[in-house]
Amino acid sequence: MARIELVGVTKKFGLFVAVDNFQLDIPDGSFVALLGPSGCGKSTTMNMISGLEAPSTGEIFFDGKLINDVPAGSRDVGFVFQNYAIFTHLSAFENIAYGLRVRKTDTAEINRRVLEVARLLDIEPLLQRRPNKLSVNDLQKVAIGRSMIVEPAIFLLDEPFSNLDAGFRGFMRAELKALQRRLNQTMIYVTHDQVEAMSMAEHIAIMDQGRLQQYGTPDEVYSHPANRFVAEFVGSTKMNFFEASVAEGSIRLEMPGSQPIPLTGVEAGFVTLGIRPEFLHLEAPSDSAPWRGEVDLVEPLGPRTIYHIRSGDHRFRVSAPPTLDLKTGEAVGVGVDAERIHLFDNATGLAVR
Amino acid sequence: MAVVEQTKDDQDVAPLSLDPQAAAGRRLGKMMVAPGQLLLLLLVLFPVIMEVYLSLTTWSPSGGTDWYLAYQDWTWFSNYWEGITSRRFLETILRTGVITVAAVSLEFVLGFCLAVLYAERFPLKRVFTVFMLVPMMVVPAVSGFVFFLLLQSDGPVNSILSLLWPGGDVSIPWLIDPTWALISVILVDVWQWTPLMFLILLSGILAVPEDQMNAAGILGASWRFRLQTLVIPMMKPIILIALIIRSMEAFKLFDAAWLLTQGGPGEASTTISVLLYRQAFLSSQWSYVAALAIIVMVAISVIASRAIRPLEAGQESR
Amino acid sequence: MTAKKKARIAMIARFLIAIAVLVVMLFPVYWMVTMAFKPNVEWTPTTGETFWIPQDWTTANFTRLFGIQEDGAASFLVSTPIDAMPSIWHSLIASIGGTLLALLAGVSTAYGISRFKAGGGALPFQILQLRMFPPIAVIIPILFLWTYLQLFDTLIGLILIYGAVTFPFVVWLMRSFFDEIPREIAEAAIVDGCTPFGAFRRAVLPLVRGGLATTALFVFILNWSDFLIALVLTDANTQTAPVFLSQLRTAGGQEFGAQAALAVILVSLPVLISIVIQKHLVRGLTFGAVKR
Repeated sequence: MARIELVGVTKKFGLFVAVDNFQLDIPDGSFVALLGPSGCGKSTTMNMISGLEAPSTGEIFFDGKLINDVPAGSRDVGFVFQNYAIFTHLSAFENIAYGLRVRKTDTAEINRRVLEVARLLDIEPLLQRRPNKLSVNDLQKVAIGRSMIVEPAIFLLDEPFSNLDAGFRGFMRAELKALQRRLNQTMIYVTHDQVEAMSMAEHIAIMDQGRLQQYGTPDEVYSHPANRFVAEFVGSTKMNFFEASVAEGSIRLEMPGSQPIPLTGVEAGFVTLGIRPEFLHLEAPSDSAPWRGEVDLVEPLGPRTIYHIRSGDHRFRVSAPPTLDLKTGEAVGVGVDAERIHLFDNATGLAVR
Repeated sequence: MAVVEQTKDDQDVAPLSLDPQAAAGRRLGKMMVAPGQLLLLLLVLFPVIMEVYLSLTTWSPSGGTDWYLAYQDWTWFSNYWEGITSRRFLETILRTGVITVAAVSLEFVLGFCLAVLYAERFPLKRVFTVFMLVPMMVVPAVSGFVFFLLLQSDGPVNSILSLLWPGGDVSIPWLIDPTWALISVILVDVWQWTPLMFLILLSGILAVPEDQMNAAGILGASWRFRLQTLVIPMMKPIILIALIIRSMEAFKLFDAAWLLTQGGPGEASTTISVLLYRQAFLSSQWSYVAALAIIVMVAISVIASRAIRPLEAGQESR
Repeated sequence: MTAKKKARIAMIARFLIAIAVLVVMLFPVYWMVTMAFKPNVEWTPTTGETFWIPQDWTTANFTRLFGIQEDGAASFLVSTPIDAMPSIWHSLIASIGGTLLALLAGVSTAYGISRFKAGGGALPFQILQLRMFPPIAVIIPILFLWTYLQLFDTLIGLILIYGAVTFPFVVWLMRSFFDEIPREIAEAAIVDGCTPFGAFRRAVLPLVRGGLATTALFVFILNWSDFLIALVLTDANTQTAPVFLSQLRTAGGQEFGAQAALAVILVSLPVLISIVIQKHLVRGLTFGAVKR
């Protein structure tokens, strides 16, 4: 358990800036997800926290202590790699015991603790097996056990479940979350899968192109995205975006049959309007409906159905209950939940509301 | 081993291809291997057979008769007996063994240290690596020649040592004193082949996956600990190959020993190859030499096949 | 001291050690090269002084090798001219011929082993066994055979032996290259209508061009470096360069200068070649077992 602070951390590889002025404060014992697309710098940031790489500039503190110059082996962190990095020539038992052997723990103690960890991760019968005889799922458990056993203050996981079977992934997520709560461990979890981040983390740090885009709880990130990137990246069904103009206390789209929506407190000008599919609802086409269009494509997803609506040149999605049995080509009216509108500045992408 | 291979073969070929295709393939395989086998037959099997034949006689070219008439001097195993009980022969084998062990061990240790050195970055590393190869590429005859000059009692090596040694005058009789002559031969081999060990071991070290090294580092393992627990165990097959191959070649050492000292002084630096050469060409005892050669061949084959077995097993499981 | 500084110092230390090792390693080569360029006076050990750097650079030794006499050449007396050209020629021809022969037999054998597991599991090992015999042991009966067949002291005789001796290397090396080509490629060619041999020729062979070149060069170096075989199987007519070098003696005594010059020439070729194929050297020298 330790508090982690990154202050102005930057990492350059030659001219390429992988991480740019990253600032983060992770409280003790929390579960934080580092979320972002490939190449956004999240793995590099992890490497800097673990000590495998050194920042070009900036400081990293564990519990208030500067650890920039502390080598990786002495930082008291645990690291679970994406491809497990299991020691292929050692048995599962020896893999887990490795950290204890480094610390010259005596055999009886090693046996006890390895068994304990194995029981916790439900891999006890597999301990004597070699890695080439273990399934991918078990290998990951061994990797986790190996890091756990030395009881590190901070646990770092780099996309640990991306190689697992889909069904197992959900299971492991729940297990990991339970583990973290039980051990009250500070955990940082890197992933590009926003569902994973949203479901597991207490706080999410979203990164893109080396910069921190937003840091907040899943709800904050979902309901109050700081910029367009976050709005677009988070959410199982992507947010809809429209070009709009604000004038005279209302906002209007260049969409046939759309009516201006009253809006106050925003400067006049051009903005991007964003709204999630679940905050649009379909109604019978009438003059009172704010927007109008016709059904272009129907996507039944089970609990919800996604309707792709076309209105003039615009296409957008609406999420509706499956009981609403609309067919392609039907004309519809679209209601807008004005409270859930997000506005983004066209130039900077920052949320204006 | 052959049995296991057969089953694998059938499993491999049958389900994947149509049967006539598989048969055609096997036929082609046999044909393709044929020229090589022919080569082996003519140029290896035949000479060996002839050698065995000669070794059972007391034939010598100076006798005047042609070799295929050697059966006229049939003597069964007296040559073999003479060889096995010959003090000189046994001593030479021992000496060659000592040279092999000493040279290969030194090459291994030095090669390993160098490989560790080159495992991490430093400026001009690429260039240096290329230059390190050079001793290997020097024709052995030439290295024999060069060291002959270098190791003269009043030659450059002694001069350099004199500069470094407190007290001035170093005059080691490299090529004249029996013990030093032996050391000289070892020295030349080490100079020539340490780069090979270095290259092989370096590729072994670099083959250790970086991820695993990192994982061990984060768990607190020092470089040394990682070397012991990760690097060396993973390198075991490569180390074995390097040692076996180098030992095989070192045992056959001829060029350096011959050019430095002709095996001398006396017999101090005579390796097996030198001994056989001398006996054959300087004393014309060819049937006796044939017997000795057979003994040596059998011995090496047995030892090497013993050593290679764990290797072959490793290859099979791939 | 920060971690960065420590790393820096370690790196510099490595650099210095590497330089030191390199200097020691290359000293004999340096000596050989300077010897080749030194006039007679400068290296005769009896003068008591060792000239580390030639003071009077001269190419006299080199020209001497090819029959031209010059003052300052490192000979004890002005003596009979020597001609190293024939021996260099012989080395070249024998090495190239031997290499071609080894390739011819070796490539097809290697493919047979790799693709069809021909010869059972034992063939590769048998071929390795070839290398276990001390050459001197096998050379003697060959000598007889050759004399009988009148192949003694002929280039063809030499080429045949060189081919046989380096054949194992070709097999093991090319086998490791062939092993890297998936079977599907040959199988696809067969499905397209090729005979198995055609599949080999058209589909697989082009893919190992690089490996083939490397193997050829590697084997060439081995043949070029041979001493013992040539020593036994050649005489005045087909002497190869290494043997010629070791016996370079005239009425004036042993011709160190000329020897050094010839040594430089002899060595340059393998060194240049090895720089070209250095990536695959390890593979060759471990019979294909280690791939970098």
